Amino acid sequence: MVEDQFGSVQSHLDQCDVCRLELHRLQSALGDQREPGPDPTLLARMQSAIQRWENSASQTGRTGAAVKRRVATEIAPFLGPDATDSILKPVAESGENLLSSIEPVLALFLGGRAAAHLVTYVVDAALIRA
Amino acid sequence: MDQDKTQTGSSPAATEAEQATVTVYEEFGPALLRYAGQLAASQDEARDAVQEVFLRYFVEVRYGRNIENPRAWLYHVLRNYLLDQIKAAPSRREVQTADVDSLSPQTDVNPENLLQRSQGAQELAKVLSGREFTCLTLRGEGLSYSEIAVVMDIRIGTVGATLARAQQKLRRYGGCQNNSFTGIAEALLCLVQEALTYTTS
Repeated sequence: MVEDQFGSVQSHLDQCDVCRLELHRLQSALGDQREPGPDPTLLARMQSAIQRWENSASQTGRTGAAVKRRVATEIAPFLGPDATDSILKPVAESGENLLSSIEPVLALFLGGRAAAHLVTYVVDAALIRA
Repeated sequence: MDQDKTQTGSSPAATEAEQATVTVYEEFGPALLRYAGQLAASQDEARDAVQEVFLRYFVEVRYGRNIENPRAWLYHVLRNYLLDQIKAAPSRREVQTADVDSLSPQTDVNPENLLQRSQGAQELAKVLSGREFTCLTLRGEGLSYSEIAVVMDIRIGTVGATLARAQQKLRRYGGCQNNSFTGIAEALLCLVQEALTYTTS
């Protein structure tokens, strides 16, 4: 809230018993809404899910050339086969620079928001569901 | 890097991505789980959704995506995931009593006041559009206008206009002619809690 608004609210609260009472009730209610710390069970589940995904990735071809082929299939309709090959050429075997390589180039042609949506789709199609 | 917290050892990129995911989980996980509880059919579904979102975060970071605002990104993905779940199975929107009880504030409030607020919150829910309600709840989660814009995939100006419309409606409900943010905040608090009691056919 900007300073002017705060002053206006405070001025009103000084005069309005109803709102002052509501503020007190709200502060009491919010005071009990202590945010719990990170759920250790959920953290363990998350890490297990990551481990399972990584293990399955090495078996189902989610590394190296297989990933590049699947990503190329998804982005070639937008960039053409030659541009797609050029963009994917510098991508490492591990794939660690895959998305950082393709998204900026897609953004040049499609704009930032559209490129972000397309990259999300590519991740779904070529990495998560594959 | 805290090696004790990671389990993935298949590649340096994967290890680094897992560490980053754990760090982000520790910072935003509890708030995301609370938000998921508002949209999910059950607390189990909320936990599953949060787990899926962080798995996705790991995958995208693992493959080099630069996520500038992790909080906005996580809320965006979580919201879309849960909306897809709702669309896929709308009849599953019934909330268990235990889920509602676990999220209610532990304050000693007069039952008549509770009933009054509950009825008021239900009236408010009819007045606010889905977009207005979503903007308000995200604002209640502490997200900035630009973050809300990312989560809902709308322009920042639209966020401002939507919140302004929602606030006008809440002020009319509050019956107080001055700009009392407490009435708005309390209405939001009721809405967020009472929304869990709605069932859809």
